[in-house]
Amino acid sequence: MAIGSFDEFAKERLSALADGELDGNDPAGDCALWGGNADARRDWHAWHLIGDVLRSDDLASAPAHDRQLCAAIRARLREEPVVLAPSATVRAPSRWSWPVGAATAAGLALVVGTIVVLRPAEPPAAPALAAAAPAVSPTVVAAATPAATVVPASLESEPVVADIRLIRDAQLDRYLAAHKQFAGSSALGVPSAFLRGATVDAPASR
Amino acid sequence: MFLRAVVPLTLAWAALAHAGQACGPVPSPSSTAGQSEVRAWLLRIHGAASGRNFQGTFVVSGGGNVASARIAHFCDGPNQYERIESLDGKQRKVYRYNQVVQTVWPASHVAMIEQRGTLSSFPALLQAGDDGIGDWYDVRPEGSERVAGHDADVLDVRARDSLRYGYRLWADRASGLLLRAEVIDDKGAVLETSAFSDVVIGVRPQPETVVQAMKRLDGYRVVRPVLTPTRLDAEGWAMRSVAPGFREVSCVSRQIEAPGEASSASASPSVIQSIYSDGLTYVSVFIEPFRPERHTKPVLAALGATSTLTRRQGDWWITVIGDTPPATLKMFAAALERRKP
Amino acid sequence: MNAADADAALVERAKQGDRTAFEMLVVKYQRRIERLIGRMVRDVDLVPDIAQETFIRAYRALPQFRGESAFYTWLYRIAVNTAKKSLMELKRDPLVTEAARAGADDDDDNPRPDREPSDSATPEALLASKQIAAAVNFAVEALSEDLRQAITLREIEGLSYEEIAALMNCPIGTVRSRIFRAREAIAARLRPLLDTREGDRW
Repeated sequence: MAIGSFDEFAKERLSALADGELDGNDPAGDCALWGGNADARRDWHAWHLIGDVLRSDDLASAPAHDRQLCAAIRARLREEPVVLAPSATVRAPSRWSWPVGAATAAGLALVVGTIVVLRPAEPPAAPALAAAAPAVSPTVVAAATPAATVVPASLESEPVVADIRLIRDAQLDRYLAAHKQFAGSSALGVPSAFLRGATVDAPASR
Repeated sequence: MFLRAVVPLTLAWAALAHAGQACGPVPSPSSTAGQSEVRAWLLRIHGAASGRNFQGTFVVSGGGNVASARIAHFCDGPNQYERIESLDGKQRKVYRYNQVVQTVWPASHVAMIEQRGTLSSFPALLQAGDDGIGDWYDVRPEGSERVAGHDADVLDVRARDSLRYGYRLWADRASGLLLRAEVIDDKGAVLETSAFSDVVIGVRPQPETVVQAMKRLDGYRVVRPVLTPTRLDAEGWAMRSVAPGFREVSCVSRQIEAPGEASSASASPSVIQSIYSDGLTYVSVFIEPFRPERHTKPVLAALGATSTLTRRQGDWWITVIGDTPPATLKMFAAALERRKP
Repeated sequence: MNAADADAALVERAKQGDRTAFEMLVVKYQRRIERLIGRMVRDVDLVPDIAQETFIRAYRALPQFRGESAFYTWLYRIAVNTAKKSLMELKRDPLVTEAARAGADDDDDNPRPDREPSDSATPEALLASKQIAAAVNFAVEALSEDLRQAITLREIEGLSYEEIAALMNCPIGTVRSRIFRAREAIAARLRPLLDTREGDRW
């Protein structure tokens, strides 16, 4: 199979593959390209290093270290019998999961730096998500402007049940920690309270 | 100790599990015998966590996140020692010696020392016998499975209403130690899983390792948050009605440090934290003065098994956090009333 | 989209016998796995060996992985087990020196004064990683608003392209392109720090 050159198009595919977003296409060609092209391998490593560092400074690694470990593993893999265990039909799971039971409300609010993602309850009609449900009007506000366009505050109207990304709100993390101090499943001796507060940072240094 | 009153549970468990498969009525927890059995099971689980020496790796996953830690627990007479070390994310260690909890962040050389207050809750609620857990949860044994190399009894805890989540519990048959727990919503979806991936029960206790580690604070900045017991009405507030099944178990005045602010008495205003429980789960209601620069947007959200609500109420800012469906938080927020003396 | 889906394509390729796909996963997770092992094992010199062992065991166990959990969760458990096993073996080996044994001792069984694993890393290696972290953060700040937001939502928030497209009010193709261009821009700034010497390429 022709491996092909590592051109812009191939690079962008590799970037999408890093995110698992090749949309069901078989990455066989991309893997072959990676195997045969040093630049592809170099970029794949750099992109994942970047992702790791963005999430946590202490995942940065000295340049040669990763290469060495990888080379050692590659050498050992060559000595292993090839693993063959293809799955039965792999159905692409629905990737757009909506909270169940919540009514649609106006808007999406995104404040970079304190990210709270609120999604409307009804999935928009496919295909173009950008032209989605009329109520959805995402407002993107840069970190510099603290006042964000928000979901209507009143709880008398049906609220939007949001999903996940509150974790990035450092302020709320502290309330969560204060709650977990007493609560969580620690009642039953399960120390999950400690772990659910895993994102809480140390009290700020002076 | 309460364990004296407990009948050999393995027999009772097996009998009830078998009864569940037999024809004919299964004793329901709402009958007196059922209630005390439920209490006994849960008390045994709780007792194992404080009465056994164990060590293992614990993993919590939910809401798209995974976190894990190495955990060790020792007991020596009436004394409890615990050591928890994070395995991912920013490194963090927690040590506990009875009521003192010390959290250490090695990278930033900060240590926080807290007194874990005694609050009337689980198991006190259970021991008093007036918990009514059976009123809000339907608890049934469901046979056994193996978890982390141990034989475990499975307990199915189903919420009777939509205000709380259900659980599935796996308790070590020999000791009662909770090996795995799942939080389950009304659709049967697992919201969060907490489990030992490996655990040794009955290790040699090494309490001195915990005590010595707690003393190693050279070069650390030590923070001691203060929690002052108080009462909602003394603070000018009242909960007009409490969500069914819940009761207040504690109320304190404390500071919630804002990120980026140094922790000092003058920096952040006091926050009232009122805690409610139905015997298995908890809801915290936080009340503080409204500050526009900090309190910018109301939120109602669910992450894994935990829901969060924030909103403004006049000159005040309310935050409600609970391991319940979001609707329950709304009830708490709606029932909160300002009542000046 | 959660991480389980993100790795599904590569994991499936690996299960079909494509070793390259598995290597791509190694590069993706090696740092996190090493950090995990480093927290369990005091001696920093042991970490790469245990990490190697982890990935080989994972490779051999691929047929047993059926996607009930995220691939990383499964790999994580293998890492923990491998680390524990290695520590046990080290203690039993009579040829291992007392010093190495002491260095490898797990906190649980033979507590030692608190010593961060990074104490053993060379100053040069520490400096290099600090420089890399600084360069990444600096490069992200220098990105245009669109690119910075796209890469942040993907890498830090873990949102799928679909979710990011809805938030940024643009087509998925644009999201894919922005994330790619953000990566290129940051990697360009990193290149001097990561550059390989002759004969030492990926």
